[in-house]
Amino acid sequence: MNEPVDVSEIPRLDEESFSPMHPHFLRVSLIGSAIFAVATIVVGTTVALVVPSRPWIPILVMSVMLALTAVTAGLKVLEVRNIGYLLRDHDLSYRSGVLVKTVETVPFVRVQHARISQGPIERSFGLATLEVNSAGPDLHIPGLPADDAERLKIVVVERAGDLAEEL
Amino acid sequence: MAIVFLALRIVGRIGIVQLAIGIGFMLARAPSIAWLFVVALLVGCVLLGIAGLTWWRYTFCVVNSELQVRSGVLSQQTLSVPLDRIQSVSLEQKVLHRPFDLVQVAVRTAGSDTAEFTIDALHRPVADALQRAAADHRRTSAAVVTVSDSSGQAVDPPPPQRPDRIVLQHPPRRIATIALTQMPLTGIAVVAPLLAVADDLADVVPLGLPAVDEPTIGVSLVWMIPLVILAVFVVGLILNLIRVVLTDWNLTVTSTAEGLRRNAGLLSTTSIASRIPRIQRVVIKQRLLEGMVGLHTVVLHTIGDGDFVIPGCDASQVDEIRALVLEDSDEIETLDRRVSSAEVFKAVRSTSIVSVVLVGAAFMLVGWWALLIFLSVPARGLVVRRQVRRRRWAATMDAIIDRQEYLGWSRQDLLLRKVNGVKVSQSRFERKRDLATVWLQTADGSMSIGMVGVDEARAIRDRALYIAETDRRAWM
Repeated sequence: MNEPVDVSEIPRLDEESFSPMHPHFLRVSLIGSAIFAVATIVVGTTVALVVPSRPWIPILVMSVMLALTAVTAGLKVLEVRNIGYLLRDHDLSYRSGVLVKTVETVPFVRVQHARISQGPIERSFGLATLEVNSAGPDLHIPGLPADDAERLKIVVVERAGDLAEEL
Repeated sequence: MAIVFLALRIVGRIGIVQLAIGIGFMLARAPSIAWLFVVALLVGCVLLGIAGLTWWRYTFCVVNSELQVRSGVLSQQTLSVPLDRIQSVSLEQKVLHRPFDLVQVAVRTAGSDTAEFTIDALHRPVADALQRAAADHRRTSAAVVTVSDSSGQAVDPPPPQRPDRIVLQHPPRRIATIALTQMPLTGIAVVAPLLAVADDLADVVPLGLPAVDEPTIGVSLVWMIPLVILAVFVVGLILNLIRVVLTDWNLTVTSTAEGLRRNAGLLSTTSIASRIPRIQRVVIKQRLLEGMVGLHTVVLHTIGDGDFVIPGCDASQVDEIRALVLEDSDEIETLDRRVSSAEVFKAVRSTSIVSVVLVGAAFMLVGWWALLIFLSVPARGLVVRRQVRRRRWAATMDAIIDRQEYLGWSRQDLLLRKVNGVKVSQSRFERKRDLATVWLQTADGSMSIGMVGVDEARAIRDRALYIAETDRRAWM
């Protein structure tokens, strides 16, 4: 059986209706960057003090790393407006990026498993990251409230199971 | 015999280099030959003992649609693999296996990229039985699904029981042609070290070359350059010929009831078998030299390792393999879609930026000669312009095809039902021009088409998702 399909009737993924991330997500990202910056300063200063003959080398490396961290943090601030996810009947999509904007979609029928991870900073803000794995690409959706992540995981796994049974 | 093979495997794991260093160390320190002999005997006995224990503890059987493997000397592990999860069972017969009619068996599942486990020395009939058991199970379970499915949706019909049919079998002449149409790069790897020790070699081998004073070496040896290039080319060609003869001798592709099987090899024969649904992408390539003799290379990308690489196919053989693998997909006669010519501008722009930086750096070293670097800008522009002009792609309701051409060409076919995920990305450059790149990701690699209209990219994404979500035919 191979019935003709009307192309205009194929459901479209509406890129405007994505759910935004929790407002705390930006804070979590920036705290991560801040911790990295502090660690860089501590290590850089220690090395400069321990090796006093050429202190400019660790200071130069530290400055470059701090500049890169600042740029990354700036991009995160800009990116947070673009990040979002969209749950549909048959698939899950994740929108991200600032210089290169991407929309990734994984159909439930191809999902192998899903899991939730929670770092210490995320946990203190009640956030979690949902990871959906297929035999091909994986989706990482950070910045979800822990409850939402759990609900989303159950939906994804149940839908994947239902569709696998249908097959 | 299996014990000997296992011992050899242990030696392989320890590493030949480490063993050579160990032996060298002992030779230097050994008080006498007799002492060395005793050590060698002891090591040999220990190796054989460990191998014997491993062999004794290694058992496998097929029980209740499951392949169960028990192994381990100190702690025993049991691995159960449901037969329907087995993606392929490939057999390899190495030179040492041949006199005893043994094979090495590699069982692959979708879960891991490498073989789930390998059995080193198995009698051929037993290995064949295992290969058939896995394939038969897939077939019978597919048939059950079809019978019980009452929704009326498209499902796999049970593969018809048909005898094995040889799709292609390369005669020795075709094998030689394959070797001669490949770039003989292996030669460089062999000749380069030879050149490095050329001075010492010249002392040993009297070639009758004129003795050259160091200061005049640049002038008087200029005539040697084409000779060296020719030597590299010829050595490369011969080495490549030997390599191809060893690996692809009697290359045979057979269409079986379970799928496809590829056998090849002179001293070690390799047999890879795969079910058709396991194939995720089909790539057909024709390099410049292959084009002169009308041959193609077909690469069937399967889940995990064990891709089918079939060089030296003529047009009718390519068509036959395509028909077998792509089954009932719509045949596309002409590829009519193009990518945007903005690609040329982007390539020229990025090459210009890199060139300015390089010229700035090189100016201090070589002066005005550094300006020659700017020639790379029009060169790159011309290359990309030709690529963009010749690139064509097309999309039907069940497949995407992308054909790229420069000196040779390559064409990639991807069935939309194989898609595991889709990504649409837009760089700043693309956003300004309403362009986008669409990535179709499968369980074995992805295919991307860049610099296409954003609406077109999204339409492909929607279509791929729709097919992946609704098509009930097996995708792996």
